[in-house]
Amino acid sequence: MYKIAEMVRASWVIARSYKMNLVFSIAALFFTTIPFYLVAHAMQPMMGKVVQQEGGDYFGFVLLGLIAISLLTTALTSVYQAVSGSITSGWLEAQLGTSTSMPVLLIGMSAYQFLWTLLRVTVLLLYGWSLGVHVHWSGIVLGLPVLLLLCVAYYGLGLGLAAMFLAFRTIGPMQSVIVTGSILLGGVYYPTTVIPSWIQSLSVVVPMTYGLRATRRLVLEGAPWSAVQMDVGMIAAIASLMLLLGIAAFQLSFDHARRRGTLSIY
Amino acid sequence: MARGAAAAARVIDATTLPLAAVAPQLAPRPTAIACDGLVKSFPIRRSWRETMRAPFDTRWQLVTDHLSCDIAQGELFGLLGPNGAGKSTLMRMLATAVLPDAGTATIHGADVVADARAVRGMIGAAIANERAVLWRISARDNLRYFAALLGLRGAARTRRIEEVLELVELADTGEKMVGEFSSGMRQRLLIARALLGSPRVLLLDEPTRSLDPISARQFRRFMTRLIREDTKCTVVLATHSTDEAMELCDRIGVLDRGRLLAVGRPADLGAELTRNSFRAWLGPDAETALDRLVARGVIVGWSATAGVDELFREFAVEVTDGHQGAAELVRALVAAGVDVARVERIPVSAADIIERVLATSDRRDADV
Repeated sequence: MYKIAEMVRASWVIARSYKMNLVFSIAALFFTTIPFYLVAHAMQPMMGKVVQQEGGDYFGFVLLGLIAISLLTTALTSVYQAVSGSITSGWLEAQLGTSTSMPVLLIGMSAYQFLWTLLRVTVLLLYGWSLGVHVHWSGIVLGLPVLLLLCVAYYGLGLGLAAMFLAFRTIGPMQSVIVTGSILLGGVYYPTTVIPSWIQSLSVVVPMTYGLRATRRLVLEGAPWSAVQMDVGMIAAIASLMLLLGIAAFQLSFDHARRRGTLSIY
Repeated sequence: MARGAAAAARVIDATTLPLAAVAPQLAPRPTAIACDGLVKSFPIRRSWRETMRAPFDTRWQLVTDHLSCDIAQGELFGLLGPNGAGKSTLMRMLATAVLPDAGTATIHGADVVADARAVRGMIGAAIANERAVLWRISARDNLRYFAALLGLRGAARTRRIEEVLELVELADTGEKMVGEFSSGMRQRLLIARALLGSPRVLLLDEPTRSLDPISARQFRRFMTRLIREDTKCTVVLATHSTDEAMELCDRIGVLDRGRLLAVGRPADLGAELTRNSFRAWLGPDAETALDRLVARGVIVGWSATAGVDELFREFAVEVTDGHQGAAELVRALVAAGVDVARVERIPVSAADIIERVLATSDRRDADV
């Protein structure tokens, strides 16, 4: 934990050194949410009934979708970006020269991005609450582990992307495919029930579907834990599977890179 | 196994090279690093055309060829060799960043493959390029980051960071952002980072490549102090610098195409190499006298070099019997009425040693 804390600290010092970037990153939170607020209010009469089972407030529905997308993007890309960035400079190989284990290194290298995203989504939630979103605060406590499982699932996919990068030096369109697929099939802007039936079956394999539905019911509706047990069970199973596959893929790819001597060759 | 035996034979063959001090016995000290038949090949990059023609056909280039050597505790072992000889790959295998295809390497008994984590706990490596630091934070914060990865905490961490910054003379600029450092300062930071964990084995890949001559000399002094007095750790140093090899190393090994061709004490290798090569500053009409000495068999040959002043000119002279031959040369020149200002043995360079060892090895390969 101490090692991870030091790695987060270093990342914060680096982020702080890019002053304008830090200011823009925070300011962007407020400005990018306003169009969603206006559009959601305009569409409330039509979408209110559609999202009835997930809170009934369309702006709240979309806001939680945006929060989930922020988290999944970070979970998906943080480890891959950390690995790709540190290979280019030889930084990864240098860190591997210490006795710190690979899991600690990977978590440490991506932890800052997670914490920063967590801060951003907290601000986003408070901002939404100030704009009238009805938030069940007790539901947030229950919703956090669900979002954590969602992150674990996408972190597993992220390890897969990092493995792909280690082996091929590219991830091709995979990041876009996963993020876009999750947005389209996972019910970020609309509930999965409105998706045409012929592709609705695909949404059952998208972790976002379960994670987001459960979180919305807990946070926006104030539903009890028992009401989302099925969804939580599914997301837990998918997260476990994806994490295991991600670890296996990364380990294979890492060993391949050590055999080929490409850990510090871009 | 057969290839391993062949490679071992090649290294043993090196002892018969015409270099008197090749492969001297190790001092009776425990072994710190033991490499036995290390083999590593990397795939050769192919053109699009070759890839399309045979997508699954991979050609390999041998980078270390059944390399075997022992390095004693506290020894400073230099690796010399042309670019692509396999020095960096050997370093990376010892640092556990590259897995060998065959053979074993152990550091203080821990295998670099099976006990990689234990090995990492014993080594400090400055084998990366100078970009492998965090540019947007200070040198002190860079070291703090690495100290955490090495498990150093609290006051011990702070003390150690200050010690290594002092050692590499960066204490005054410790708070400066590394991106504003000169190339040499970043190189020193890499060395400080390698020393941070008080390693038992230090791996340095061309540590002075970005240093100016004065900094390089300071580095050599620092290394001497570090190795001889302070830490007494074992050091493997890959270098192209004659000064480094000659001044610092207890032994040097010459690598080429992954083969360790010769191992010896640098002074012995150098002296043997230039045993009969002398530089002489001679007065007017020396050319005629030198021609006569060649005809009489006193010297093997001579050539005029660039050094000229008002009265004397510099010549490179090849004698027949080391210092005896040089004394004979001086006597003969004086007898011929040539003024002799100075005669000295020509200093050897790393390139000379490498060239000589490679040429001898090539001749032997051709004979075989």
